[in-house]
Amino acid sequence: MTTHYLYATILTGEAVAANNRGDNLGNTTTLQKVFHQDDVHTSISAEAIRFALRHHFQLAGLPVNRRYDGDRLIYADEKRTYWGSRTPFIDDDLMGFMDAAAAQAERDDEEAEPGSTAKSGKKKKGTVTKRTSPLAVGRAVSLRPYRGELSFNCVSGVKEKGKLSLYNAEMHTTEYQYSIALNLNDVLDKQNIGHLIDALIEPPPVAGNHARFYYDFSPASIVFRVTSTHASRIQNCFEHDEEGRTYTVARLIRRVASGDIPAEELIIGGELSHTDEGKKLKELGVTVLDGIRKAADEARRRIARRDKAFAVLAEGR
Amino acid sequence: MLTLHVEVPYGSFRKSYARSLAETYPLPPPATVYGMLLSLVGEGFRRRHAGVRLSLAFSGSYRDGSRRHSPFPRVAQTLRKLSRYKYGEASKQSKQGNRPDYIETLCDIAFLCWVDSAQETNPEPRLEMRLREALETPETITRYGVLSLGLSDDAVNDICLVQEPTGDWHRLKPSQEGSLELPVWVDHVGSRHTRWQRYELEREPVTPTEPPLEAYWTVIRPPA
Repeated sequence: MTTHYLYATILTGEAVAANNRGDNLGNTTTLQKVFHQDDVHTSISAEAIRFALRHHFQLAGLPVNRRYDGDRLIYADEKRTYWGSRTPFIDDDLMGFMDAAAAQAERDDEEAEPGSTAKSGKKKKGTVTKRTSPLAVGRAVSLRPYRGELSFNCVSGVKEKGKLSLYNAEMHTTEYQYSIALNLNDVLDKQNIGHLIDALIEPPPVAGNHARFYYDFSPASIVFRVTSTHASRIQNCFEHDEEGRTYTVARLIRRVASGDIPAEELIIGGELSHTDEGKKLKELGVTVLDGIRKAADEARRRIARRDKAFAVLAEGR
Repeated sequence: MLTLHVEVPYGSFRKSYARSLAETYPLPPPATVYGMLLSLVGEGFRRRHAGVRLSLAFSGSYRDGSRRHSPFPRVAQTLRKLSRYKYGEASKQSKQGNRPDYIETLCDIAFLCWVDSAQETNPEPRLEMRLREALETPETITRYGVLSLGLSDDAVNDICLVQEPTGDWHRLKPSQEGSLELPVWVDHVGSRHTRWQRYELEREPVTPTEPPLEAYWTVIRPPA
């Protein structure tokens, strides 16, 4: 059976990021950092984005296995004993799970089917209850290199001896971009594909920042690719334009123009559509829409057309 | 023989004996690359293409054309929630298993991978043929999950066939005296069946115009 994928790369708007769950060394809270094209960029982990997507499902009133009540995580069925007997929770369906215990020997045969419990054979193999996540979420990487923004802060109001709070925080004024990939065939309840698309365009706050800074992680621009190709070629497709203090998708344009990425598989929405590069992509045959929601709806329609298994998405929102 | 170009923005290949600090091998190990190729063609049996030979060369430049400061990908260190126990230890796993810890991540990984199926020991179809089919007619392949190199979130951004490589590439050469020790077969439960091989990454880049010489191949061979 043909394997179908939804790929997306999301670029947020520009804002100030800080306190993104780095390590706390003395009074300095660090932003996480990675390298991109030989330069230092700040980063937000894929786990933080996954958490926000799960939280969106909960806030949207969808049945979820793992709930967050502001203090702790609560499972409806932590051991997934329900699996196979009823419609899966959306977070288990999209995010997968793994509960492994006491494996004692290497498994040479094919891995257990998703959600199954390995049976004891001649060898003591242990039990693994797992479902491989059909969804991959890449780390968010700052569009702009980190140049060392810092702020020095102290507690406001009347100072009391012994109760001073002084801290030095790293901040970064930047957009973030991140990519997701979803194996559409592996999603058991195909409605959940639509719920994921909704979560991508309306995510709750993503990690860090706490009450000090609010960073809107919703897309300012989004690039979807609906395809059967096994690699997206659109990860980190936004590049910082140092001179213009803006961004460019020049490499994406080259790859579409060269035929490496078929134009008819791409959908672009949001601010990119208003740029010269957005217009260039439109000339090359890419579907370029001015709104994020319009792009999301078009992605739904494209998925629904690929196979009757996805027809449920055609009903739209 | 065929040549693949692979691009992975971020990847972490935890060293076999790493504990609290999740150190990464400085390059994606051949065992991991082989696993990724199996995943690409939708193969679930790890021994299915035993005997296949791989040869790797790593990019000497970034995608914008600028020269890399080193033939090795840069290593970033971040915090993430890590499982501190491998399979088993169920009681400890639930109480103490997950905690934030440092993990190393390789950034901007790009490499060439030559695949030679001539010495595969199982009947056809050979891995070479299946890879060509997966890349030229992807709609014919049934596979699960998303194609990744190592951890499941570290998705492969690009994998394609290359006729004649261009640019600068640092070849990975098996060498008894090499400073790198990389796994070529991994026992995911213990380490009894894990096999390593020593390598050196050539400092001087080349533009490979010919297939790799005999000395540059790694045979993927499971334990007996």
